[in-house]
Amino acid sequence: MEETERSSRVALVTGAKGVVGAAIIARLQAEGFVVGGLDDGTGGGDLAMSVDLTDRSRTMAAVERVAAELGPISVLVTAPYLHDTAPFGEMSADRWKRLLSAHLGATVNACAAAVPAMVNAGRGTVVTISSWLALAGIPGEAYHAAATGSILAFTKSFALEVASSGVRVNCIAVGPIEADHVLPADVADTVVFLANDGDFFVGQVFSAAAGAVV
Amino acid sequence: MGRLDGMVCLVTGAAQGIGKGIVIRMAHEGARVAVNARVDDDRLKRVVGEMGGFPAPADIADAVAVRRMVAGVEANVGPIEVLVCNAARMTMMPFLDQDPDQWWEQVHVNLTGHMEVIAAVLPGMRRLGRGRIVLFSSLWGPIGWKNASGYASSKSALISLGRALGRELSPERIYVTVVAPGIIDTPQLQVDADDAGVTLEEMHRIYAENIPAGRIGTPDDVARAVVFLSTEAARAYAGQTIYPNGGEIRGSM
Repeated sequence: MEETERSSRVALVTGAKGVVGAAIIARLQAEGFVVGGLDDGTGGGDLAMSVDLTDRSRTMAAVERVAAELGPISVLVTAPYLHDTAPFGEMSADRWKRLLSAHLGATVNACAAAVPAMVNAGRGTVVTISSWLALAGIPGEAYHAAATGSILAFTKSFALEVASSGVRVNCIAVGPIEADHVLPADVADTVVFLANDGDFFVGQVFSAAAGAVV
Repeated sequence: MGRLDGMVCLVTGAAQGIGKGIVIRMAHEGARVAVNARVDDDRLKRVVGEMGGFPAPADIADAVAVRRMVAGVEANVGPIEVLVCNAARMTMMPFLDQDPDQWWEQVHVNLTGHMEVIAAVLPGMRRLGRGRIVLFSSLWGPIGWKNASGYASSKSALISLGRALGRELSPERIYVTVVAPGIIDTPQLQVDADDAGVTLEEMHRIYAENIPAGRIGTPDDVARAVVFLSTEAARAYAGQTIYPNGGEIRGSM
């Protein structure tokens, strides 16, 4: 029964071109999901679309198209990956705005576009991707920590707003991939766990940091 | 094909409640489950009978019995790859009214007892070259609870034990994680209902009102999380605590 149910499920991944987003798409497809992959670049998955995720109305239109072509979206994963860093005081206002939009802006836009239909359906899984930099203090990363940390704060409150409608929102704070501590596959496994088995997790932060942050 | 095919798993405190739910789910995923309970009674026999598991009775507060039990599982079932430290004792009592021995018994079982189990299982995991250990904390560990000072102290300490062992054992591919469940549908709920002077149904409703998910958890909700942490993905969460609680506690967690 579970298998048939899963094979017809549709997932939407934003930030499809990033290392983490791409691993999540591959894993969801292996689980039988049909995946729409949005990105500022070329996108990925079964329906790849290029869209400016920091633009609310364009994101709405793209998500609408994914739902129209693939079917109702039951899993949303937001996986922003723009990394920009500068010592505090040395990032221009425009650069900071771009960084914050790429993380919080794109996350919020994707949720605004995809979650109302989940609420109507009475079920759905949302996984926001943040960073270990949001949990650990790292000199020189104040801007990036703030941009990704805002996703944690958004996730916790938003999760409570839609929990009673059967939609589950949780966050994965991804550890230092560069240092090969955490594998994108582990993050992807967590997404599948939350989609299939995570109904009693609400507004939680999964720190996939392999001990870098506990 | 199950996610734990052929894996030998040892679950402590598994005659009822969450532990029993874990045994059922692990067996469903293909594991060969050694079922621990304090006494070798009908409840243990029933769980083992239904699941095709292996009985592994021992009081985990008894270090000698624990070593004998673990050796028995290794000899008769195979090298233990996953250990789930679920057994617990709880006595609800105002701090000053509680007999100190009774207070300490909760710490001796919940914390020290599992340290003995871990110490007994680790050499085998090292020989195997891999392993996962899932410790059980509780909602009441990190947040505390009135009249549960001994239990909460022991459960909070398990979060710290998980952090330390997570760091210590990760390099050996032995991944230690912690699960801190919220309100779960177990026989404990009847005890809570009796204490509160309400029916079991009323107790369910009272608890569910404070849970954003709109319901109390099931043993299987927790068991599914344990299965996830029994897979290789646990390496990303070494030392971490996860909280299946329907959104009931919030804050820094």
